[in-house]
Amino acid sequence: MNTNPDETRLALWLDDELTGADLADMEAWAATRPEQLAAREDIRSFRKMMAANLPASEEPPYPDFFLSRVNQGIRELQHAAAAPKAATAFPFWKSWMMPLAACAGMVLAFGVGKRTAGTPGALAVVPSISPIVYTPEEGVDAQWFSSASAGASVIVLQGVSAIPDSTDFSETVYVPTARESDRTATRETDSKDSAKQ
Amino acid sequence: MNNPSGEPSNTTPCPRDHTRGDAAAEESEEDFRLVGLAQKGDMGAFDELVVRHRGKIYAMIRNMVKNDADAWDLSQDVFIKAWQALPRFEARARFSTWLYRISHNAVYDWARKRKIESAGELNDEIFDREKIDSSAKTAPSFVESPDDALSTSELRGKIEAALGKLSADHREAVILKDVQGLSYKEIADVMECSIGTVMSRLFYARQKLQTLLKDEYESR
Repeated sequence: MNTNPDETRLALWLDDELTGADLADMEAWAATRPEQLAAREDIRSFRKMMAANLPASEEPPYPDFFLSRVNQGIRELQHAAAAPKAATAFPFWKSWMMPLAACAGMVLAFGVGKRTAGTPGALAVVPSISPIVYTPEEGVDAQWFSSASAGASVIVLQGVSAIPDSTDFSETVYVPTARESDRTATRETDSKDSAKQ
Repeated sequence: MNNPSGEPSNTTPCPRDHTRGDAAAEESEEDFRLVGLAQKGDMGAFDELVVRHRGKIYAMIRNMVKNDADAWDLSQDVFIKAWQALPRFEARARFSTWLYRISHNAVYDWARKRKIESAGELNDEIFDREKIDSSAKTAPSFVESPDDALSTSELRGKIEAALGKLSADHREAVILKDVQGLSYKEIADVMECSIGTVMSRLFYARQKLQTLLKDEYESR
């Protein structure tokens, strides 16, 4: 190789990306140029240092939960994509079936209401997308229940070891001070200050 | 730099690279097989793709955003976006390169949102806001002696701090090349720029890192 290589070719050679005839040509050209060989060694040693200290692959914390979250995100997307389709599925019926369906619904609701009157509403497992309840401890089973009418959600954990009486919860719970919990405290203080002035 | 949807168009032809060795070629072939199954709706195959690539994607994003929690969330977004765009993946690039490109878009979108929330300028301080978590879990591929491990951990902290002083573009170029081992062409595809731009960014990034790490670099 008599002529000098272009910048791209030189960069590819310096970074060990050339193969075959291209590599042979560049090696022949560089054989009489120690500064280029030194530059290549310099880059090789830099790459080696970087690769030795920064892992190319690093498992994310809680990898099983990571996968669950990805699956949950995909399910939510599928759910969101299906919703508009369902909404536009019966435009033909809308025009004349809607009033009829509304009347039928009212009659049905009235009938169901009469039968279940006086009985307390039971907690029901929400049929749509439920949140993932992640239990890092093996042997612990978690179930999630929600009642829209009661406005409550309950998580039942089974298999959790007993919490010792000596546990000091004050270390794990944030307890607001009187000033923080009383929204009027600042205002009263301010008004006292202004009264003094 | 990014397309609006955050999904790669995968239009740049990138023939399968057989110069990386048989293992890498086999890995790539297995990826294509799993992608084919996932495109037909096999969620198990997609789960396997997530498991195969989550480590690389998390490591790359963590090096960019320097915050474990954000890196964890962003890595999940990458795989959800990959699933959305999977029907358009044509196997003209390696699957991992395609994921890096989604990661690139996700990181820049994240930085843009942070900029809007903080009403500041889009600069590298966005990436440097959080301190490096030196106690982060790592999965080294070899067993080190305690002394070596301490030394590696210290040096890693210094390298990460030095990387934090680079611009986002320079940092990404050096991470993709010197940590993830991508070729110039693949980096150009991920960062949606020319090979000449990659060369320039890499040259200045390495030069600055060598200056910042002069003591460490010369002692080896």
